[in-house]
Amino acid sequence: MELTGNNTTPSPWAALRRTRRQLIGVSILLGLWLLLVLCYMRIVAPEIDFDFHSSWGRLDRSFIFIFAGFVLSHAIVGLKLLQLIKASGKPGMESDPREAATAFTVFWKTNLWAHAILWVWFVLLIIIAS
Amino acid sequence: MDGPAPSPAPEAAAIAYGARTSILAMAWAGLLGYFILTLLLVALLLGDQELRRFVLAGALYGAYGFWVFLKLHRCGRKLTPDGAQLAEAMELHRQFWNHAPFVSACSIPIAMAIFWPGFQGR
Repeated sequence: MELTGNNTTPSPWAALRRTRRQLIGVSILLGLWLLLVLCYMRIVAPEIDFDFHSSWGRLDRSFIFIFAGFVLSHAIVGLKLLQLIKASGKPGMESDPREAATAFTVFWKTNLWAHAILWVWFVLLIIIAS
Repeated sequence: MDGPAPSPAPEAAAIAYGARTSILAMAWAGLLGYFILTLLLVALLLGDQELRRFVLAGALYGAYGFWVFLKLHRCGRKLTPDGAQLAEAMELHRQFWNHAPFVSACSIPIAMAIFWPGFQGR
């Protein structure tokens, strides 16, 4: 793996600062994805006959909670992502990177829990719908 | 009399070490989760030979899961309490985010393109 083009030791916190551009892109994509899902649920989904009252009958109420959780988990991860972007962009972050390190750790812990919850809901959705 | 305050950099490395378990867990979840999704889609194909598009989706998601695993696992392993390999970990972290959003974003239209004919036919 090529880390740098010279023999100097790269600063990990400089690398984290350079990651900001990608993280900003991720936060924009996350927002667009959530907007797309919300638009789909508001505009397209009501037009589709999902036949909720037969095989999907048990999902009538559960689906609302699952969808609310989906939106909430995305919002929380987005918030932690913004905190990481903010902390890693502060002037002098390289000399005192504790805030950025904390934001880095918190983001990954939150991201893991959000994905775990989403996967559990996804499996529940399949089980309930089948 | 108190000694000099500890340097913030080693302390920050120890804090960043807290993300190790989460990153490694995400790596394994990516591998196993998408592997299960691949199996599910292949099982659907075996149940209905008309659903050939599911195999394509399964292969794509399986490859994505494997890529996530490789990138994040390498990154997570380099997070240590003393921060000896922190620079490499952060560089791998940056490389992961170089591609992950685009791969994730591309997987949505790919999935839609694969599954759309199926939804239309319902």
